Amino acid sequence: MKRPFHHTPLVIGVLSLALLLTGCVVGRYYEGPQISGEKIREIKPGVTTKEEIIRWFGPPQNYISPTVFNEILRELDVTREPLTHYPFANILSYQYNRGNIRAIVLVLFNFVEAKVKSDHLVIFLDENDRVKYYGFHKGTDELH
Amino acid sequence: MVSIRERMSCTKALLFLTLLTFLWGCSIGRVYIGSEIRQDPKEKIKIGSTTKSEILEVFGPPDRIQKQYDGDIFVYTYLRKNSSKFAIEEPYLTNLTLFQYTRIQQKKDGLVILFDKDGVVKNYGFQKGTPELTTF
Repeated sequence: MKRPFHHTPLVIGVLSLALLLTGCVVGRYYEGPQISGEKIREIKPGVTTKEEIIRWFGPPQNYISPTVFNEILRELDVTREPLTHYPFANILSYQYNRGNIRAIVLVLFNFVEAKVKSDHLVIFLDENDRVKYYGFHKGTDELH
Repeated sequence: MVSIRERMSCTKALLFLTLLTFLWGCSIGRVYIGSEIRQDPKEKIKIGSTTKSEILEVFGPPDRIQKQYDGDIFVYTYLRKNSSKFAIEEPYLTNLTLFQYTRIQQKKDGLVILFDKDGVVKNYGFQKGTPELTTF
């Protein structure tokens, strides 16, 4: 006749082993300078100049010019001078990226989740190098 | 004294533990890149009247701006990737994979807006692919 709970030591053993072999992974990734929300409120289309933007937010990570000339310069690496100094740089872009990674590693099952969000500021300049319009999205608030 | 039945039970338990620990496992992965497109483009964009400034206000900065001779193009993208994997393997001695099933789904929501030279929406395209993702 079988003893009641005769499998209990086995179950306890498996559970203990499973617990001993589990782990959690948490990772954080940050890229680029943070974008100041206070300064964004000070941007006034038609008033704020390109120089003010660069003074407030620093050199932009990306910018796009209305001509293909800057693409050629960038592709061929013709100049190492900040291209924002050129008159054709009329779109300034700032981006701050954050990534959260979390994982649960069990004996038989792994779960990994990665989220990458960005704060992104894009500023369009007019022919007088004043802000024409701009857009800002704070995506990093969506990270938990 | 240890009976034959108890010995058998012990052997079974050891075999079970070995199989459990070394031979099989499954993984689930989730990747989210970017922010969801916050508004319904059908409601917010009117061809021939919505301006670039309004688009920036509603949808925020685009992920990509493309300059063209007849106006700009704004591209918004939200990417999601679901992966699941089931494998039977012996990772320590032989590093042998006996069976592996992998399923990777990558879907994105994409919005492309074309402007004319005056910065007014000329046309747009929107595709919402992320609802097509399945759990496994």
